[in-house]
Amino acid sequence: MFGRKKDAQQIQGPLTEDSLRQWLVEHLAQRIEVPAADIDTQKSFESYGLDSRVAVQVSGALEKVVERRLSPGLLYEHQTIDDLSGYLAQELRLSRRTG
Amino acid sequence: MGAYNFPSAPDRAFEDFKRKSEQIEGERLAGAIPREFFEPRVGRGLLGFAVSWVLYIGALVGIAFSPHWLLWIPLWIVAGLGGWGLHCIAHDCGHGSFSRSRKFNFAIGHVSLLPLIYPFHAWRHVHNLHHSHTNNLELDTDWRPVPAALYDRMPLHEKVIYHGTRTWAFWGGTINYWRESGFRPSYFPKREARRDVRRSMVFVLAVMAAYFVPLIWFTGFTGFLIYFVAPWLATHAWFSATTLMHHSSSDIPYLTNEHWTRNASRLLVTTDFVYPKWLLFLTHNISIHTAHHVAPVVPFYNLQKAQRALKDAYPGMVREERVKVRQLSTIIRRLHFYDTESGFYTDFNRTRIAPADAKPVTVKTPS
Repeated sequence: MFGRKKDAQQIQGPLTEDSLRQWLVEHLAQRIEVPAADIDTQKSFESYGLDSRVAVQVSGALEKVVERRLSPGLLYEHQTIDDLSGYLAQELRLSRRTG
Repeated sequence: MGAYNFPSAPDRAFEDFKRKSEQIEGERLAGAIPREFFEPRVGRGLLGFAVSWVLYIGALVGIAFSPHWLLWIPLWIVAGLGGWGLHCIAHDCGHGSFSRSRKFNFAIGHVSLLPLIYPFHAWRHVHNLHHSHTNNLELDTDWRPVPAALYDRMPLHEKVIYHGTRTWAFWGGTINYWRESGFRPSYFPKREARRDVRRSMVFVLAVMAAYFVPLIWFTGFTGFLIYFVAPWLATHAWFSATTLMHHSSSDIPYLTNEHWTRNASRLLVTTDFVYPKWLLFLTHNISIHTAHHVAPVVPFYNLQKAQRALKDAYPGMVREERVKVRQLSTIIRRLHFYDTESGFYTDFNRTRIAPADAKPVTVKTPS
């Protein structure tokens, strides 16, 4: 009832495109149980065997990191870590500018 | 490459909507509403708060002294109207339009949501998500239809809930939202929101304990059902019917990110229902909804004036209809799925529902 599941790991320091990319690498590595060094940020999420349920979970965890609502289909719209972190960095800058 | 490049075969109705949406692009819509309408009058707000509590408690007293159980039914509807009115007061508190004091707004908001046992901040943060994503196919939190293909992939219990709340059990739609997000801090992306929600939960749980224990002690389980559960259900029925009707219309599309714009989400996607004066008074003008979406900071007693200013500035853009039971019945019989081809609706048989020719009706708002 209290939904006290452990919060997704937060990013230490400022939120930047690089720190987001790093978070995605570590999160993905943890999910599919491989060392972070084996993750290629240009390879599609699908090629890592992420099914739609996990893709929605990742976008849910990412919501906590960037502190805003994200589309559950985000990992389909932006299919690699580089693409996704680039998109988010752009979106977040936008939101900062417009307040 | 987007996952949601709908509608795949937009017809004229969708193009018409897009044209309207483009017409208002870049406009500062709230600028059409004179600033003086943003000023709260706390006394008027408190009058609304008192009226709704009197209605709610009065109906409960009525039940206690009622000579026959058949009278309970209309009294539950009245209690529900009181509880719904209180929600509408909490609604102003959540938008900061009840008073200039944030603390006072939060206090009144918490107390007003007690008939619904809804933790105020949980409701407030979800409601803000609804405002910032109204009619967004992916991100709106209220009454968002899903594509039939998505429904097919849902687990059975989700199918049952979706099917029920879009048809015969529409009155339980807001109970489902309450169940999903009312007591679940992890639902919220922002850390401060999660902290707020935990605090509101503590308040609601404490009041539940302080109220339910003596209620059950003195009136038994039956008393709990007739004095709390039935009015709670009735309040949700008002809550569900009203919000479903505001945000479901055969000629108003839900939009993917590609087509969704902030201005269209504020001005073009809600339907306002014209209520009889007494109902408008008891529901604190909640049905005057477009002006509210354009400028949520307008207090409820100024919404009629704000709506007039908006209609003058954007003629033909505000959708208004006289309220009829038929409209609700059309929604629950026909508007079930998001149609990925047209951008509007299909029913559960996957038959496309033609967008009704809904020219805005000119309605004189009472002054």
